[in-house]
Amino acid sequence: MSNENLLSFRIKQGFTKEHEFVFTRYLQDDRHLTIDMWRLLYEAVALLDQSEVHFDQTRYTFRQVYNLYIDQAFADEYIEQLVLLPDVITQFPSLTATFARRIVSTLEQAQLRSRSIPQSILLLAYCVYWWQSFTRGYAFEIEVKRDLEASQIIFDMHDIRSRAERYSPADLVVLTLMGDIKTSTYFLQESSEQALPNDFYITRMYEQGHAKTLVVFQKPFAWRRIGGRSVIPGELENVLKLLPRPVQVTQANTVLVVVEYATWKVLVKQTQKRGGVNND
Amino acid sequence: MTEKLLTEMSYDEMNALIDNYIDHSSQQSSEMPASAFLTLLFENLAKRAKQVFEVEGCVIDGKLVLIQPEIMTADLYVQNNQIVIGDQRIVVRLSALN
Repeated sequence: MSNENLLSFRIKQGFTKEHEFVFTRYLQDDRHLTIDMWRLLYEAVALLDQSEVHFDQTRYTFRQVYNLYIDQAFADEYIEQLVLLPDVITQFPSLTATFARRIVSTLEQAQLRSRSIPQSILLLAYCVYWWQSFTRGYAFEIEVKRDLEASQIIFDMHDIRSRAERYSPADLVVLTLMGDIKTSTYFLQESSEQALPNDFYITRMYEQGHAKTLVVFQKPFAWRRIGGRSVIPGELENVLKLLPRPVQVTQANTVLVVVEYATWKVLVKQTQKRGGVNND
Repeated sequence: MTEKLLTEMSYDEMNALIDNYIDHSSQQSSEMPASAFLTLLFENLAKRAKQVFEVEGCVIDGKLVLIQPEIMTADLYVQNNQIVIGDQRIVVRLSALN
């Protein structure tokens, strides 16, 4: 008996045509999404998280399918291979694409994809979307880790080869400050349920007309801790234009100081030299 | 919204879309613009800040004295240099500027 009689989907109520449109547009080309579209995209993914597939007489959420069939099956193996790449920046795209295609095959072999059930593409797209976010995030983390080592910054970092450590509250500790390294899109996805728990965040930002810039955004006390002093006030729209001067962005009751990653490293190194460094 | 949605595509169109997505999203170049990122970040933070308490204080004889806010809640208690929120106690100490 074909699995198609046994496979059914229940897309979470509230997932509209607009959500699907933005999700489709994102998959086609994310370079021209507006802020409203990004907002809708995150809503769409959150709704798909809770959508369900029924097969083998069991009901699974899309998130459970991802955890079971993708994360548990591929994440450790991917990370093992990623950390061995001599040049992660140039070599990780090919590794990532290879694994993503294995994911497509895996879902097809598990009969979670059906020609006659169009919603099954939503599950496949959802899984590949999360996988690509995951892989880009860890490639970026390795890129930064290697750069910090080359820059002779002293830091403690979680071992991403360990599943348990990948879920640690912070990616790294510098001068007792807790930090995270995340691509911007992955950061927003991951942090949707949490407060801003760490002291600083290393990410990559770009704006039309500007090259991609590695930045650190941090809480004011973390900025002072590395000897940071004067800042200029900035708006959400002009932060990259104001860099390399340290920029303070204030919204409602939250204040963050944004600096170029290179500036942050210089200040950290100076502080470590002055203080006889440790992370204890 | 005239473009085909994901579930309206033919099987081959779906496969081509996913294949192209894998190719372009495997590159590092997929990032959202900084202004969008910061806007969404602060929006998320604002959603999480369910309740904001403003605590005023002054320095008397070199010691910080915080004032209990007018808003009454069982979870917040302020005395001298201490703020108690639920089972958390925040002790604020003054220090001289370098």
